[in-house]
Amino acid sequence: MAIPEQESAANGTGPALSHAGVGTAAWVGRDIPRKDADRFVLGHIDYTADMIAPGTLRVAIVRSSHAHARIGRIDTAAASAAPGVVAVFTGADVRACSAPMPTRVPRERFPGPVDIWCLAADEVLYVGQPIAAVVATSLNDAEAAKSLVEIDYDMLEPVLDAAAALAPGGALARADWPTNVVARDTIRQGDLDRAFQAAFRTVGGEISFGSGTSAPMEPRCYIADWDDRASHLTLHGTLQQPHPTRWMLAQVLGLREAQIRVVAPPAGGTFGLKMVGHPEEALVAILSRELKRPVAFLESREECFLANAREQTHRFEIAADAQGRIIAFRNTIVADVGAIGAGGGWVMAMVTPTVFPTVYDVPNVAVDAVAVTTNKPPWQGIRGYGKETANLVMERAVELIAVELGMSSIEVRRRNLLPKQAFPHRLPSGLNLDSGDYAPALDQLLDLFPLDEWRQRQQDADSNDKRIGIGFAFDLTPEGASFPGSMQAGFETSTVTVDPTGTVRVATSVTSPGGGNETGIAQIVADVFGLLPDDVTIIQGDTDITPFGTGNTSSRSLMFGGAAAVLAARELKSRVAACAATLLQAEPGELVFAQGRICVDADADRSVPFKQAVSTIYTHAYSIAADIELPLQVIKTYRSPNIRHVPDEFGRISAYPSFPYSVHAAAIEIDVATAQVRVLDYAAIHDCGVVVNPGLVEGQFRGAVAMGIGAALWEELLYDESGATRTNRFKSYVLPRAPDLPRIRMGHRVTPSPFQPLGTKGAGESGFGGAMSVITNAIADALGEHGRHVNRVPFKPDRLLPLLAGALS
Amino acid sequence: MIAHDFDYHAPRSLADALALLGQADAAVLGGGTWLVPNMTYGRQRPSAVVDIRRLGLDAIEIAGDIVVGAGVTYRQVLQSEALRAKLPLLAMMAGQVTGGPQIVGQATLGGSACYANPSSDVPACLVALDATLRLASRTGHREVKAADFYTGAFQTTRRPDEMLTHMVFAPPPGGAGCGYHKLKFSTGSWPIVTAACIAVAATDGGPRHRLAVGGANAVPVLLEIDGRDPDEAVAARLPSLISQEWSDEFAGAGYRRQVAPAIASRALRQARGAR
Ligand SMILES: Cc1cc2nc3c(=O)[nH]c(=O)nc-3n(C[C@H](O)[C@H](O)[C@H](O)COP(=O)(O)OP(=O)(O)OC[C@H]3O[C@@H](n4cnc5c(N)ncnc54)[C@H](O)[C@@H]3O)c2cc1C
Repeated sequence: MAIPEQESAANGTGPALSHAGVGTAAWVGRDIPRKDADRFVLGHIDYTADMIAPGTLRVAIVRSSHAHARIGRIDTAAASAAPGVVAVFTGADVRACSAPMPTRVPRERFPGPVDIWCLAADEVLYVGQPIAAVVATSLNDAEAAKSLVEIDYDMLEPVLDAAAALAPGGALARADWPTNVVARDTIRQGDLDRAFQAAFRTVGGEISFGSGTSAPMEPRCYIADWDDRASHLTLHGTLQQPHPTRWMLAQVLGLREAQIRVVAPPAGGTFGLKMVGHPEEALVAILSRELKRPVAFLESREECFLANAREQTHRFEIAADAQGRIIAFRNTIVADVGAIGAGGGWVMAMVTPTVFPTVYDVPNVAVDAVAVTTNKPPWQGIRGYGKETANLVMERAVELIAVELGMSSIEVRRRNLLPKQAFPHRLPSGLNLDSGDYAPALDQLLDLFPLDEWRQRQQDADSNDKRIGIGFAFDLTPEGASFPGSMQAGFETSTVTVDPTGTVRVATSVTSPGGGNETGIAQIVADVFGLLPDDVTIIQGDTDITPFGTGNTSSRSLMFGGAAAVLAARELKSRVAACAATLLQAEPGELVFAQGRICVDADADRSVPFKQAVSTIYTHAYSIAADIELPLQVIKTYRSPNIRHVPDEFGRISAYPSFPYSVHAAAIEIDVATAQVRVLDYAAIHDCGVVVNPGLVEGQFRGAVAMGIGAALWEELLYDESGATRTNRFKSYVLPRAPDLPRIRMGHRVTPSPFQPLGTKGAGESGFGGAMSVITNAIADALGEHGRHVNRVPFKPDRLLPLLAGALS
Repeated sequence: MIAHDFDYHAPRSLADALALLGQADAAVLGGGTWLVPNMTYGRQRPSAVVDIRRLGLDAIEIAGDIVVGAGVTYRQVLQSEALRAKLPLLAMMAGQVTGGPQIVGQATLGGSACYANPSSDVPACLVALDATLRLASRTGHREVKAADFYTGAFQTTRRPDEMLTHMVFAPPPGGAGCGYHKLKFSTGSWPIVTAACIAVAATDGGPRHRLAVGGANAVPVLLEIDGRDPDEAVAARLPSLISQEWSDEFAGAGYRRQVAPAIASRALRQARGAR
């Protein structure tokens, strides 16, 4: 087969296509099409909802219409008698036959009772919280009977924003909890007071972020099938984390893991939404066991918009010396994480403080963060995972101090970027930056982005009609979250098997959200054996046949799951080499695996097909292969050497192993009369270490940029005064479409991670925060002097218009 | 998915349709691009739905007056050369409707006219073109000027037993120019403010403009302006005519009133230029 030329030239210092010990690197670095791309494009893939078999019972969920109330009497009689209805379950019913869902709320930090049930038991905490489940033979009947369930509410005072949550003596978002504060973090490095006193210039500001949501194309769906005779449950679902879901179900249902099989079919996107802990995951399983029939839940688009995230306010201050060196940064963060559910979405608020001061070398840093619970819907995982807001605040601070210093912000960045030789570098939070080459990335960006031309166009524009703004932003995205004490503990496992015909099978704990990691894993494993990616089959998303691991979150798939597969493949390769050495009368160390053959390095004519060596092992177990361990199957777990769960001398751990970064430039135009923003030009340089498949990385990065532009300009969840979600359709929560986005020009840099066997870093979330930040900086630039007052993201025109008026006057 | 049960009718005669409409709680079904989602979300729960598809209301007739059937879709507007020549404003409007072929080929002008959503393209165009709406019921027929039809957000003078059958337009005088400008924040957004304008050359004192602003107010706002420099008149008169300002998830109070004059001026400019 023809090997396609690699298209995107990797630019940079590290080895572009291969790294320590990958082998001959025939496939790593190549832009091959996604495995199964044709089946996806032709519609031959079955998503979860396609698997709802005839005869499956359907659930419609009665959700709270109040933000905070005690539930009184629930009358299910009329609904139970409605056509097609098989059962109606309430919180009391669920309590009688299951256990609470495990949660991520740390009990030592949080003193109150934290039991979380999949149907509210006696108190509702947000509009939309599940209260009752109507199970019927058709979705129509279930939906129709929903309105017949009568619920008496005893109103409690709702807490609908962070200020109310923190007000002394104010209302409590969960009546049994003594406080609304869910978590705090305090990060200190250096002597802030002294630094601020000694500073040449200081400046401060405030930025708040509206709520956002992930809105994947495919909403959630779960199908539970309890086999009563076998006492066995099968759950098919839109699940990023099948093993943690099985762990959760085992506890809720009081079953052994062996009694549960969780399957995650191909996903139509997730962006964090489909992490473990949604009430419906547990609910369908409970219902199926109680009713002894398969039960399915399919989320409506309106329900999907209940996934909340990102709402935060930052107050920051930055100080520089006369040379433009940033000497101090401090920030106070208040995050409104909504109600606390079983999922870990609220943890995002505690990731934000750990990212400061991002790519800059700042000696004195103080960050104080507090996450408060309110009566809005719970946070659900979303791309960026809290890192995006930290980057935006840091990039605004750099812009503001540059104004005070009378320097260009590009120059200020140059003077403060961590130099390449400074790595590994400990952030004040304890995170250990693996590698980076920031300043040359900025140079590379300036080759890609015609800054002078845009400055000219900016000057030429009629400032009473259109204003052009130019922005720059760095983005540092910690990837590979590995939190101690959680099911996201930071290891992934792959089982590699060489089958008797000489093809390879990789069963891995990481799942694919649709981003293509299976293709990347096939490439790196193919290189170990000198085979084609088509010879390598990747098996994911089935707890019965894949080993334990977290699944797909935090861009860990290739970094962890791929690394585990490589470790296992290398061991198998040495077994095959042992056999080939016998066949070829050579030393194993002399052998090279390439193009489906194993040959003696110095003498290419002495070779044996890979397949033949493998079949020899399987068929000559007592002679040639007597010393080779069988079967040809190895399971390996990868743990990153750059994770540290033992606190350091400052009491900090390091829960992220890898630090891809990017630098972005954008030109935008604001229509002065309407404050409508258009993105005119966009360029970025991205560095995620060794690139296994440029097409996949670019796809992820462009997606992240599109999502970041959307989050900066249009996307915002709005709540009414009762706490109900107002933006519950794609006509009120608008995502960017192709005509709304410029062509995104992109370049790569390759600074391998010294900690990862392939030199790769996470790629997936990276770029999202940079896009939000660069649009923000460009808008501020368009406002000129008045840009300093930019204080709220997204920039919906009704908020931007008064700022623009200020800029004009 | 629609949760409640209802009867579906697709009558072959207007008389049958009107008889059905006379029954309590029946809804007319045009393209259904509003009605069906509203029924899905439980916001409208009619016990009967009367589909107009077999009533022959999907014709565009041009003989003197221009008569557009209530069932004409945006795509039909775009495909009718004759209509494009006579009423370019309608084609400009139809060409900017979002939702792709599914919506453009399915949704009707009559449905948009009757739904009276402040954030729709059609109503202000009807007002700018001074359209006459023909309403039929089993008790008789009547005609209403578009400017009198709209009484509030989602409210018209149409009685529940009445059906819109046609929209009638007098051809604008020769040499008339038209302009249509729409503010929306991104491709997927509803119209925020629209301005539809007809400019007619007058013998003295410059052109006369008939301008209707949609989206900004609960009902379309009509302005008639003479003179060569209408922008000043727009800036002076339009904000106070927006007496029931519309606000939604896209833009809160005050925004539409503030930006409406600029949008109106852009349509005016286009109408003068296009003459
Ligand atoms: C994705 C999408 C994009 C859209 N984009 C736009 C856009 O860009 N601009 C825009 O303005 N709108 C847009 N719409 C809104 C809407 O679909 C259109 O305005 C459309 O023209 C409505 O017509 P319909 O025939 O589908 O109405 P229907 O849903 O059939 O009817 C709407 C209402 O009018 C009543 N009705 C319909 N016909 C009659 C009649 N003959 N007599 C009496 N009552 C009647 C119905 O009972 C119902 O209450 C969009 C909708 C969607 C879903």
